[in-house]
Amino acid sequence: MARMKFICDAERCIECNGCVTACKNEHEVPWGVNRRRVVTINDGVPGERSMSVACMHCSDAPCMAVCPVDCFYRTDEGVVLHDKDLCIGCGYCFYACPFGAPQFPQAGAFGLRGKMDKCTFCAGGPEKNASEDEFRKYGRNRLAEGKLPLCAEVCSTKALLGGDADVLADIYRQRVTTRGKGADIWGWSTAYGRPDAPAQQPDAGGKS
Amino acid sequence: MTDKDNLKANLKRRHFLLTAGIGGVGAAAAVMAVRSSGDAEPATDLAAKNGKGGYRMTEHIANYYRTARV
Repeated sequence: MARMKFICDAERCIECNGCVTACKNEHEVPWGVNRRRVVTINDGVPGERSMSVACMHCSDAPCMAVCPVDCFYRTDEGVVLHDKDLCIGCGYCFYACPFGAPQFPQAGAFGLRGKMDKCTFCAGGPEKNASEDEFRKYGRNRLAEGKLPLCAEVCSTKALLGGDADVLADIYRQRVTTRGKGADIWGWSTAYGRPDAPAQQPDAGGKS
Repeated sequence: MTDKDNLKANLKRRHFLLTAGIGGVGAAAAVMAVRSSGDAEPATDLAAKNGKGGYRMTEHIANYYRTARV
């Protein structure tokens, strides 16, 4: 059974926020709720890195451990989902999550939290697939349509990868072995060719 | 032939006509059912509407993996 995961390649992310916009549009996420966001460190200085962050669908999810009403569940593909009919909006999951994934709409009076909302890996919720209830509460169920999360699919530099963890690990491994790591992979030498790369030799037939 | 015998013969003829009529309607319904089954929805839509089908390798996903390797 495939296990669904996100990987964000920080060497490729250009902070375009396309993933954030696509997610909000696809699921019609209300104002004030961001299922995905782009975090930038060392902004404006050499070594700046950006990374798209949402629910990482942890294998041992702390949100599941702390939920007092046990509204979380994990699908066969390893996607962590929750039941909004059970959620009481206590906010424990927000404090437990290391990625800040759980979001709470300010739906009521001051201090009153609404139902928690988070990334669903575009896998909907416990309602029937493609039903109106499922869309209203959790957004579109692209996984059931034979697709992957839209944030990963729209990523222009393919920095954000989503899908089968085995396939993604293979793709990432291939990238790292091709481009190197650390200080070797940014700067002029990467953009215009490596200085230590051997010069291209013309073909033997062209020397005559 | 008495009047009673005439009446029985008439009823037999009516039964024959009734049977033929029902058979015709049934045949027409069967033809319509076969035709409508030819316009079935794509498998992906059916999987999405029925049950909780999840991830599976589709052409769409295979294309995504292929582009991500660039």
